[in-house]
Amino acid sequence: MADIRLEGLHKEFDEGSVVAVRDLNLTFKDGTTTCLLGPSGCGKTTLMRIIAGLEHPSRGQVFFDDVDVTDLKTRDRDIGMVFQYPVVYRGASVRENIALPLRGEDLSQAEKDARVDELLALIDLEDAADLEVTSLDSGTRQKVAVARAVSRHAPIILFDEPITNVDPDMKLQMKRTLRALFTRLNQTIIYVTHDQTEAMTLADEIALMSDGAIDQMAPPRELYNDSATRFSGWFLGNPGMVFVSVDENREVAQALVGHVLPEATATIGFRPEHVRVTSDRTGTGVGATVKHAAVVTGGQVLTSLETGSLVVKAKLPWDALSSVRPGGEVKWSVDVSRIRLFDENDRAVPFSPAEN
Amino acid sequence: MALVEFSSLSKSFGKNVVLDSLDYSVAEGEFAVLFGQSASGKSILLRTLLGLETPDGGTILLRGSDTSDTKPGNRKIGYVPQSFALFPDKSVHDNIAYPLTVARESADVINEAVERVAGLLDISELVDRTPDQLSGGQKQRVAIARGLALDTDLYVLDDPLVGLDFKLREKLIDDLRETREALGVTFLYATSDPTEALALATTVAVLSDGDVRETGSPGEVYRSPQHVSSMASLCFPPCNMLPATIDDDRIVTPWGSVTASLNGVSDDAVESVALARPEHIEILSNSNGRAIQGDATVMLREDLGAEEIVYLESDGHHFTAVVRADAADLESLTLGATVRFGIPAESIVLFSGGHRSGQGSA
Repeated sequence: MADIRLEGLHKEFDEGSVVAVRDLNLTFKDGTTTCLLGPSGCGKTTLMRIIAGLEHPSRGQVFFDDVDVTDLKTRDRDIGMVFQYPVVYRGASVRENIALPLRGEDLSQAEKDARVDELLALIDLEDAADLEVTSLDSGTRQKVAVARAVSRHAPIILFDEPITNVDPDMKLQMKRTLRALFTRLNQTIIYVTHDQTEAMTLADEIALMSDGAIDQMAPPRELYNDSATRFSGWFLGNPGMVFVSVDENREVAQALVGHVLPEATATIGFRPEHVRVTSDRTGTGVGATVKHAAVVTGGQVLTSLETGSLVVKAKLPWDALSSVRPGGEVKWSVDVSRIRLFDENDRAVPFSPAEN
Repeated sequence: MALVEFSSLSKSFGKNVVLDSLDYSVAEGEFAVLFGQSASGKSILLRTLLGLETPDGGTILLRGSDTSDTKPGNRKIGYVPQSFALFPDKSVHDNIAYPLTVARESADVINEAVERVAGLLDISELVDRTPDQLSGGQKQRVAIARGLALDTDLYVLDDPLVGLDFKLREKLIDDLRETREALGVTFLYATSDPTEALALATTVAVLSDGDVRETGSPGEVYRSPQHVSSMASLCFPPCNMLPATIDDDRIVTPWGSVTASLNGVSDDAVESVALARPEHIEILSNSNGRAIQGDATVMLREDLGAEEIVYLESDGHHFTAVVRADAADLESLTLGATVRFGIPAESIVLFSGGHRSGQGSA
């Protein structure tokens, strides 16, 4: 088992005109599944390739525990890898594929068999153990590739968007398999994805990446609830956070926060599902006109509310559709404990309403 | 007057019947969304309107006139095709201008149109670049702008957001809706994505097995679907199909039965199915008071941020529930845990031969 520690890790391409990874200092904790999440082009794949030894950094070091592996070849790093497309040995059965990495290991045949059997059960392929891998669909082959990558119990396993190209039907099954596997294994896992739901569902920790840097690293719910930056608030969620500029809408911002705004506050942010809407015009809250309402996930109602030039999105429970109609006048409010404040550099400003 | 009217439209490829005597009309000023699973014939239908595909039978009226003798170029329809390709050696400006250049418009008209649509889609500062200098999302905007460049009253968009990442789609959905409102024109838009259909449409039409099964406002169709394909697929996550049988006036499931108000079809020869939406499956509270209740195993929880989709299994049957992330007792839903679930009678909707035929009653 091993920590992965990055020190001053930096990677440029094209003589410095493209920076993929920006002076990172970071530790991926032993036994933790960390999802590297971010939009395309944020540097997450390059970072994973450097950790795998498939790419050499421009400067900085990679440590596995206290061993500097920066200059080690991939095959000398003792890692398992799963790629976007399944890598399996054609002409071999599912069982043989999973057993293959165990060939040079110092284990008895019974121990090897036990390990393969355990993995076959975990990926739910006990009945397919003796089938030739090429007879399987690509999603099932990817399951075999996953089992093969972990069978040797290498301390570090790297996943590069392993279910991005799997059929939608199979995706769910893969998520279930991976979830079970990650719970069962205590290897250090880095899992690259652009899909926030996948990251929120599978990760112990999410390292949110933007423009070559780690924007925020936290367990999924903490990342979602306590955005450290505007980017994090915007990127997570569907739709992401609503932002109100203090300069442009000082009165609204003040009314929502209800306390003296910390001086550094440039923007306030909150999640659409935390906006409360009432059609009772005598109620408290900010007045608005309903501009649009649509049914979204699980029958919830996503509305756009217009308060002057400000457009606020509110995600209401499924039974709200009849009470919120386009053109209608409403009042909206947000529980102050759900509000985040950001400074002019888009970093969160410490704020605890209870103490004010 | 309908802007577009398809009547008894048919189209087959060999033995494969794609459009089966289809009737559908689009009123002026609508954001009309044609919703259907992939390969349900949406693109073919749009292509018959554009004149790129000839129907085997039926008529298409465009602005009140039969189109059979109108060449594609004379139909005055803006078009954003599903798989767009930009000209790699042309600037963004020239790419957007292309349909107008083909129509031999003057340079003044072209420049004005490009400026207008580039502004609408927020790509004004990109007009001098070539496609290789654009991100995927920017290319998509250029393709949409090109489709909107023609100054007309009707635009056809064939699944223009397919394959785009999440955040980009979120933004473009708002942009498309606002763009149409700003132009005051008619959009006919095909998609197989239920959330996109529900978010964009002023009217949605559900295409299944070669015909339009239902049309209405998205709220109406969602609240009170009249056809099984609307209830089953015009929602996210997909609707739960319950293993139910009908016994006189009762809906019988492995977990209990409820009385049903049945209207119309009671013909035993017609197959009936019962569906219940994921948001109506109760797993955290109240489930003990329901006539239909049972135990289920939590197979997976997908965390979408604002809400979670909970995948359940009971007696070999799989179904999903949606719960808001701030719901109480959410932590009790650990993987593999057994939970009590309940299904309110009135949330069970019955369809016979495809048509709505009843609903559970408490």
